[in-house]
Amino acid sequence: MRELTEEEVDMVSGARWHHYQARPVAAQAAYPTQRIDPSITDPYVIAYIEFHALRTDGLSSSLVA
Amino acid sequence: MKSALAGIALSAIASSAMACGVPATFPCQPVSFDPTDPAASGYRIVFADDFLNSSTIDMADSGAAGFHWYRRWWFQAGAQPAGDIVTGAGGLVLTPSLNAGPNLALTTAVRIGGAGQHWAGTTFGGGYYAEVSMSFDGPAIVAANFLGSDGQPGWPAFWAESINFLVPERAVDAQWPGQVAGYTHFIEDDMFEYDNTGDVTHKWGSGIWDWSGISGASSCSGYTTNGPNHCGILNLNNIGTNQNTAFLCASASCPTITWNVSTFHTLGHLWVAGDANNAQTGFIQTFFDGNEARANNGALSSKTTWVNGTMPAPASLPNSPRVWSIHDTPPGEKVAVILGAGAGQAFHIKFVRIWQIPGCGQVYH
Repeated sequence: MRELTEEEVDMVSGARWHHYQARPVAAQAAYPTQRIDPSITDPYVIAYIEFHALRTDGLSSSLVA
Repeated sequence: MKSALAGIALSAIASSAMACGVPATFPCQPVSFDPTDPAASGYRIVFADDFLNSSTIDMADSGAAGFHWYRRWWFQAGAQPAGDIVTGAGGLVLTPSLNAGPNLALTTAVRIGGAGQHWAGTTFGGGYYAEVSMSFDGPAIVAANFLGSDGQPGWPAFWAESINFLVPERAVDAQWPGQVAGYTHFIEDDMFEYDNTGDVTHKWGSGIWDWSGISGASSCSGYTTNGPNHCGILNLNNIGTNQNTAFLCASASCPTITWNVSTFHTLGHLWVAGDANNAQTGFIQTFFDGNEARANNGALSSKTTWVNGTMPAPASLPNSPRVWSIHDTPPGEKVAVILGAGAGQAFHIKFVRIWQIPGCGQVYH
């Protein structure tokens, strides 16, 4: 596996805010990225997927009493 | 409490249609849809808000029926602060002081306690044409790396979610028939999201999710995302016949979009349910400032299709034409429409309109 270029690292970092910061409070554990379809490699698409999965998953585990 | 705007607009448009000699009846499948003139395809406004004042918003967080919009949060106690919501001649300015949703500040339905229906307000089923006129300071949002003033991510969003999942009783209300108790199945239609697609001056996020599973115990494979709580299929082109329409631009040429508070754009989202009128083929399609939005760098239509029919078992759903058809599934599936933004991001809304062809689609209260 080749190393990412600086530009790619910046791109991934920018996109991964979803992954590291977007998760709802109730979903503090890191999202298991390996559960995403492995054919998807675009970091922005991965981030997009992560955000929505985290929102759905996190919200469902923080039910209103 | 409810605004009379919808009725006024409905009457005006109906009169206009009749004056133009438009047929009195229309098929549920629009033959030729003009986003600048939905009435010509038989659509009539069933829900509208110009936000001229706050009377259509449940500012007191009463949870009472009859409002267009509710600020009570769905998944935690509390509500979007009333001070975040400003209405007037120019419409709504929604500036969340915090983004607990996320991106879920105002919705057309509110959760309520007690027996029976677990929500009040308005939801929609069986198709619609949803429009929002909106503006915001795009460059500022990008410069902040899509982080709001509270340090949490957020961006302007106009989307819809199954009320069956939004309610706390989702394990029952969103039950996938034939599956074990608590196995849910529901739709999320992200009509517009100004989020990071890597090319924010030309594109925006627009995805539809077919979600299913048991919260905390989902075991699936072949989906776009495979748990751990839910299994989701996004309209990417990576699975089966799924179209690559999760990121859109304004037209085939993908022009630069001016995102500032003084430039309003109209985002329109057409949802046609699959039924006998169209060989059970349902679809969504998105329009931007009167043109069809395009996918795959402008090369593809924004249309994402599905075919209604017997739902396969969850393991067979990813490669099935039934993906997203839960959107149409009567009698239970229905969606609330949602507005949201990141903290400190002023989201300007001139209007929201929901259109349906009479006899095609339902409005629930």
